[in-house]
Amino acid sequence: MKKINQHKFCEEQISFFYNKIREDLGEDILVCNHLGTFSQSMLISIVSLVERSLNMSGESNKLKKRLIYIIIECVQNIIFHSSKSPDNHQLAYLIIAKNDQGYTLYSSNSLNVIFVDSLAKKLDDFLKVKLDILTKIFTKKITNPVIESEGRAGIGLLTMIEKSDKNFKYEVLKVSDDYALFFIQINLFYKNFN
Amino acid sequence: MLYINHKTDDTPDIVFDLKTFTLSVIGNSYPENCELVYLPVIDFLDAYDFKNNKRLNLEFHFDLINSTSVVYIAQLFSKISAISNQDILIKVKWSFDEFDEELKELGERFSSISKIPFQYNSIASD
Repeated sequence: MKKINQHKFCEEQISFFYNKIREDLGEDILVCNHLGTFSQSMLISIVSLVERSLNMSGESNKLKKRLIYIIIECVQNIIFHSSKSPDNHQLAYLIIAKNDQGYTLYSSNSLNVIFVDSLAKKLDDFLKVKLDILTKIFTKKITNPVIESEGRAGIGLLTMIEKSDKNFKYEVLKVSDDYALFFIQINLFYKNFN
Repeated sequence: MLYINHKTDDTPDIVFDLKTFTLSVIGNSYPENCELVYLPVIDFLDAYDFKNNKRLNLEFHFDLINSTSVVYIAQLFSKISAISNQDILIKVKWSFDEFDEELKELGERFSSISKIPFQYNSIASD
């Protein structure tokens, strides 16, 4: 399949999953959602919007901070790592919803299949260790960082897993010869913030 | 006052007070490119006249901070740690909002990494 057709198919797939999550929300309240390209200025707007929504809902300061930290890492992960179409568009989404249990963040972005195995291994390694070990890994990584291009440190996923207390699920779905979709679901439960 | 970075929605005010020898970093820190914000601070420290000033005060108060900023601040503390071993008086004041235990813990991590004792300052929320 030609790359442009693969991208179109990938776009259809990600739109399907985005719409399915929204349909399945049922009585959950939608706090924020976006499908398409993400940017730093959009992240600033999302932070402001979610902060206002959390304030209006009377959420605890601790939960507010935790959720916003995770949103920052999640959106910057999309900005830096999501693949782009030939016309420079990203295929990604972010959905934040709440119910009486707490908040759920859903995100997905497309990526080249060559990154799938290393990404899955990295995440599985983080998810199988206890939180205190994750904290040690984080400290080791910040003292011996590998700075990527444009000053990125590559510890966003580790931060998301740590800040969600490991309530982090992921899935990678290969959708064409060159593209896969990377799905994340993060839960912040009220019971952990009392 | 020497301005190293002017505050924006996603970057902190970074200012050096020439009278009190205090470098303060205050505000949000989650820029797209942390290098642009923190390399000038590293350059400032490289050029700072420790020999004659013999001291440096540092004040940090973050609201939101991303993981890459954490890496750059760790690099700053690594540099400062090396300086503090040269008979230079380094004081660090680490402020955090009273409910933000994670930010306090981050300060403790930096203190442990740099082996510099921090003064912790919990700020009551509005």
